[in-house]
Amino acid sequence: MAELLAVRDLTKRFGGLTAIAGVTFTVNEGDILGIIGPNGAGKTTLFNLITGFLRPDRGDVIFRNQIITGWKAYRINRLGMARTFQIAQPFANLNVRDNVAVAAFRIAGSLEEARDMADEMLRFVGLDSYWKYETEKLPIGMKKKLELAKALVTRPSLLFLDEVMGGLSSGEVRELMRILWKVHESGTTLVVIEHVLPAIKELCQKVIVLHNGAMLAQGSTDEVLRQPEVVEAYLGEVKVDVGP
Amino acid sequence: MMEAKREPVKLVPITRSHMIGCGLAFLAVLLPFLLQNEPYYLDTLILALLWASAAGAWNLAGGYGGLLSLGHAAFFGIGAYTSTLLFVELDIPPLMGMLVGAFLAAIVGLMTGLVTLRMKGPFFALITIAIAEVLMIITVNWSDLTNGSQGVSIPYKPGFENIAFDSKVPYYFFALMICLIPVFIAHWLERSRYGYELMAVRDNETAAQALGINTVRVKVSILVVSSAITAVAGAFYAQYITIIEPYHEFSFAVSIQMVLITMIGGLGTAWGPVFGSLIVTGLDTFLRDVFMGAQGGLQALFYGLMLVLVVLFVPEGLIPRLRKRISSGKEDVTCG
Amino acid sequence: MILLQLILSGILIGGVYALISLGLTLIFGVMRIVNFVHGDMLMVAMYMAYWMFALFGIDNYVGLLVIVPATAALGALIYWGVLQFAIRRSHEASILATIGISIVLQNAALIIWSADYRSIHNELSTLSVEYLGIRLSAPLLIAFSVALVVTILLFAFLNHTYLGKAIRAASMDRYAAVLMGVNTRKIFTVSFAIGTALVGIAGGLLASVYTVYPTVGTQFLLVSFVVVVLGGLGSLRGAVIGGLIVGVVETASAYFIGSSMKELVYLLLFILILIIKPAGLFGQQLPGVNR
Repeated sequence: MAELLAVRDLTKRFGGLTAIAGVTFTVNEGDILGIIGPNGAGKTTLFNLITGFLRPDRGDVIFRNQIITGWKAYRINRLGMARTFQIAQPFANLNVRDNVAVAAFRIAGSLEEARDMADEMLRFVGLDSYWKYETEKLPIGMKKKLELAKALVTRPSLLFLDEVMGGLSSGEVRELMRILWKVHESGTTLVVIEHVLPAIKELCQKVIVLHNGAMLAQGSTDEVLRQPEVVEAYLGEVKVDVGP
Repeated sequence: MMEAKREPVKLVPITRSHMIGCGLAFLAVLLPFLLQNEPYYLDTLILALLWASAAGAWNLAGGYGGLLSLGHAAFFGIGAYTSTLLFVELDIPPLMGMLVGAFLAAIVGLMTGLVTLRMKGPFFALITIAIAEVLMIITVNWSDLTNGSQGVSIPYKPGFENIAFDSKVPYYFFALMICLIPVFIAHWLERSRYGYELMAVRDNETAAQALGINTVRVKVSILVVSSAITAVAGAFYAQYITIIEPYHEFSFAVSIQMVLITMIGGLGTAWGPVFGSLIVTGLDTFLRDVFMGAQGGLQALFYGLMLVLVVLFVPEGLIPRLRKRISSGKEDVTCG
Repeated sequence: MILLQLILSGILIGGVYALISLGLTLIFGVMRIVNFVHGDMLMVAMYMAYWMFALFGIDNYVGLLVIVPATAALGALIYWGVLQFAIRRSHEASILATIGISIVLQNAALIIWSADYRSIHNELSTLSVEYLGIRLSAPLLIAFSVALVVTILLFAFLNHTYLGKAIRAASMDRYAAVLMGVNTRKIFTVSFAIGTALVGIAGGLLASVYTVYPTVGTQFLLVSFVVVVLGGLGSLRGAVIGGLIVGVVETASAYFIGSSMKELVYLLLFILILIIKPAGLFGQQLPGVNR
């Protein structure tokens, strides 16, 4: 498996607080990597550092053998890295379809083509009958799907999902997992931040545990989740098993 | 002989709005001739179109781009003064001077954008105010060049290239054409990749960046376009009113006028500024008659009140509000 | 010697600028409102002081007893009646709403009191104090002293009273403040009232220094914008230091290049700060992902 992303010794400080301390890991093509850790561990900050929304104080991010440390977010996205946001960020004055169409324009040649691509993507995530709706009125489950659709339509090779299952019902979680499996099957590599542990267990073969900005553990999902430090760090954070 | 098979001609259904549109266009062309003997009303109409042009230009950056510029008078004044001074000092016809003014305004817009559009917060709004104010002070004090606070009057030299005519009718058509420029651009924005990117940046800059959009470039470019067109409106204004002075051309009042007109008509819509300008300018004329002789200031107070009311109750503007009424109503998504 | 004179005079007016700017920055820090009405509150206060003097012979310093609660009440009314709804819509809405109210106030003043210049002439207003060759205007000296006292009281209030600390908490993290039981609506109203009262005090003080006319507030608004950006949006320390700096710069510019151009100097200073360090001296980079 080719190495897609390498993160080396990534560090970020905010004033006196070290948010991310020397994090190092790699992601290979075809992986589904989970990033877990208690709240405030720095997971989203890590995402922001990798995807160009924050500049690291030290360390490097390498994508397909290209050093992208310090690159602006939009340039990184154009290389084939997409992300969703923990709090869904729709374009309020555009309807659901146009939200996705904007993203599709990166590849599409015309408005019609962009809208067609958007329609296809909406069908894929199950939002097609809501294409006309204003995004403000959408319940959270659909907002998350919209986030996903926007990120996917650009056909990224690496997709970062920030708590995409947060706030969803168990049925919605299952549906989203099905969608993510299909995304993975089509060749996209996934990196997933999640609190919903059953989803992590099912989706990810590898997992990284972040605690206070540092990597507490890394390895296969089963191994890591059995480590005592991990269980301890997570005590109180574990979501009750939702079931199959 | 074999004729190539021809595709049947597609008949585009003529909708009601097409017919209304044609009717209005026809009226728009006919109107100046109908009003030829009512110079007062024709004058009001021309001013309405002029402000529609300026507001339309502002709307490109403010409505479609979400850039709240409170100093667009800077560009208006640049257009007015550049074209006028080139005409008065160097005999360069205003038709050309207008373009020079647009170019200069574009440069100022570019620099402003590059500096402030990287930042979050109200800095952009504040800096636009500062720039308009700076230009006003410079114009007032550089009296050798600009005749200072006394302003400059434009000599009457009729001719198309001088945008000077002996009847009001050509002015009307000129104003109409200028006012249509932002309308066409707005329509294009609503169908193009650039326009969609612009609206995405307006609605959520972070999310737009995550989609590969170079948000700074998008914002700066619309500002440049907006400032250039505003300058064109300013230059036309100078030629029509034939006297310009710094305390008006660079004033905060002019900047706010563009904003208010757009807000009333419809932020981020192609025809909103036109609609809004007809209302505001019409109201202006009407009020001037009503308050005839009464305290100056009553009118402005009314505008202030209108601004507050619009912001609170109809912030998206009248056109979108009417659209919502006409269409089947907001689609609601019920849970479950 | 001239330099010392300029610096001292500058500090005096700078102290008053600081007072005005404290109000502006407090309002911005707590509510993120760029308050365009601020200058016109100064105007209202000045008119109040003038009329109390012209009609009843009340000294403008005594008049502060009426002006402070009156402007505070007016501020609270404006927030409660208009701004709280505007904020809910968007930042742009609150800016435009304050602009609209500003226009209303200026023109109301124009209609009611006409554009005539008015000034308070009492024994104090033309007095100046001289010491070691430095001449300082007495009313300005008093204004500075009062401003100093008020500033100290304000800092004491914000640091040592529950309400003050609640206000500071709300300005640092609105959501956290809510979670800790702070009634943000009350805090916002109070903050806006306090901010307005501060500029009201400044207005009462300046009534014996400057002439008053309906649009007198605009200049001071512009100056306080410069101060607040220089000092850092939301920073109280910044408002004080920034006010003093701008006061000195303005006074010096008026002397060296004339008063019609002095505005140009601090406007260019303003633009320069925004280019070099938009966060200002003490401000934090506003939260957001632009780098």
